[in-house]
Amino acid sequence: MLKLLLKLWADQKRRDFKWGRFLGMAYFFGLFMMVCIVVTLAIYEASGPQAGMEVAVPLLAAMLIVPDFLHKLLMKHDETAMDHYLKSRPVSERAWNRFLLVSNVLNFWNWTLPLSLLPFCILFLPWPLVVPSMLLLLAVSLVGGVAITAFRKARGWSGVWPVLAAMALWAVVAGCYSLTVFLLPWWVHVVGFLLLCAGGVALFYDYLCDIRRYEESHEHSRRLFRVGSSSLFSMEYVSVLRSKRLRVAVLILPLVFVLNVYLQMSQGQNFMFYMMFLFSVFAPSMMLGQWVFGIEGNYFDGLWTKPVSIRQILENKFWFYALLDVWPTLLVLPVVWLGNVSPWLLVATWLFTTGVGNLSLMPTCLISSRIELFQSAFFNYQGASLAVNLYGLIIFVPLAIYGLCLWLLPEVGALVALSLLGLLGFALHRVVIEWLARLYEQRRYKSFERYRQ
Amino acid sequence: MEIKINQLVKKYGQQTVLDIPELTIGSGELVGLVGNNGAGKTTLMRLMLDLIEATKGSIEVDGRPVVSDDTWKLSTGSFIDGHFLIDFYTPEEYFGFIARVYGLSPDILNDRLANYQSLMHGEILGTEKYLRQFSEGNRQKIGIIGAMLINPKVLILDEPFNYLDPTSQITVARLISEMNIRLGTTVIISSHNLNFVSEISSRILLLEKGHVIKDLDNEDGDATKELEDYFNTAEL
Repeated sequence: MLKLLLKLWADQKRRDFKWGRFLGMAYFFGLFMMVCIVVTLAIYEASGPQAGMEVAVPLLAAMLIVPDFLHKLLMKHDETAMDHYLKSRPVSERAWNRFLLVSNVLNFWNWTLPLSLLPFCILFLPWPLVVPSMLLLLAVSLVGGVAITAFRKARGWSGVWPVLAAMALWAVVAGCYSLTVFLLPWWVHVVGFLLLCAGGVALFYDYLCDIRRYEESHEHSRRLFRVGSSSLFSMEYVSVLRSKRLRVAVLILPLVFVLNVYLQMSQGQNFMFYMMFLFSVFAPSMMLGQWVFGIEGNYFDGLWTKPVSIRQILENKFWFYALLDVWPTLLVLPVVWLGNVSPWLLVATWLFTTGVGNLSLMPTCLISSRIELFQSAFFNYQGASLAVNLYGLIIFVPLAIYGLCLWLLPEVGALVALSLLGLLGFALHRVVIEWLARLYEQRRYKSFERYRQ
Repeated sequence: MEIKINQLVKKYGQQTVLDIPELTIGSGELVGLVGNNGAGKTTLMRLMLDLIEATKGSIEVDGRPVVSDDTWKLSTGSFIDGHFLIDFYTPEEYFGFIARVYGLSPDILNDRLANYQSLMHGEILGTEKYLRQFSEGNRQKIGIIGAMLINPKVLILDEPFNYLDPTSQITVARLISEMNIRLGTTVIISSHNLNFVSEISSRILLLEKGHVIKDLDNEDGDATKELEDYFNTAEL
């Protein structure tokens, strides 16, 4: 049965395979690996080959447990419960759970931790230690991976809390055990760590087997967020607030950049500080603006047959993105006092972000696909295409302008230039949107076709 | 409102899925589109609503081409499938949105919704559910009500009886017929349910492989026999 399930899974993956999506992912993963290799080489050149670096492997593995778990929480979305097709056939729960375990071993996101540390292992470790080190990193990643599967399979807080508590306990136990690398011979320590990982996997797998879950598509909502009126503009924020996928992207992810602003603040106003500042203000609209009309793609047939103009929807988006960028701006406001930063930096960054950054995102309406609003992950690449990924590079243009202004001009001059560019964007936004709306209407059938796929 | 089709052709690759040289649907007619799967009923409706591009030819509503003149949207109500529904809205919000787009006041909206209480059966309004959480049957009802709410001059419904329980099917048929008689709405419906179509339609178009092979007058239910012969249901 397990073989059959794996064959079904492989068939499904093969049929869903799209070169555009694969190349997009390969491109970004390639960039990530380049960063890993460059950083490792830089450390290697600075410190040179050193004996005894193998002790770093278990320490790194233990240190990365929590970040790896959080990373998978965002990115890893695999099967958890049998769909109706499988549920109504003689597939035992035991076979399904074994399938979940095996599919975890094959899951791409469980390989990112070992792969990203592969350059380190190759450069710093003696050859015989590379394979066991990779095995250890994979085992640690697998514990997190199975924990995530259990987390996804569980329903409600009562089901999810045990996973979080066990994960915290696992991080502490693994952290403590990793310190014994200084006391035990390396090989003995690694074998012990692998056994500990096997215990961790067994623990989460056992819990996963205990969870009974049914795919119920008609669940009642427990909380209903009410809106005052249903207008074309309120549709913008209601869709974000009611879709977990968009909510996470818009409300949670900018916090990462905001945190970085505060971390960079202690090192003074350097280039990195300015870029983090821009990213934190730009993040919400940047996340949503990758796929302008990706939300509307779910009901565009309904919109197009009603007297609603494309220009109006785009204009609403422009103003909604501007409002959306206000909230991280408010979150970084305290740096004005804490970091002795000019309040004009805040104003200039917001003006530039909304006037230039957001306007440059609007053309994605011509190439975006429909995004599934009720998938829980934002980064599952549904809705993405090669065209969108390539257009994503355009985002670097406003980022580069911002960076160059602050790098080349004196601070006051840079802030004036950024503010003026932002105001120019505001002044021209109607003209640009009008032109875009006309272009969209000329090409509308292709977009409609994409939304229906 | 009169709908005029001229030399309309829709092809996917080399395959012609619709080919109608000429067709006029007069104002106030209630036209039923029937035919087996792949006959081109939904394609024709999508072309009428400018949702897909015609390979050749044109569709005009009151002399205005639907492709380049948006005025038909002000007086056309339509429901083809789930892509017409805004899934993150509650029914109240969805109807409110439609009312707002068409400039209906809240009082008018409430009055009009009251006309559809028999169809909603207490299962739609006040349920505190988002559209995506409703059953297919109730989603179908919400879509149909959304299309009829604006008292349209043209009403286009694809398979309106699908997913509905027998009581609701009868109610929908009655509501469509009433709207046609009371407001003079031009109605185009497609359905596999021959009983309902022949009961309420004044004219029936029988489609086969993209062609209108029969244009039947049905003012007195005359088309029933011919439809039964075509679909060979008489002896079943």
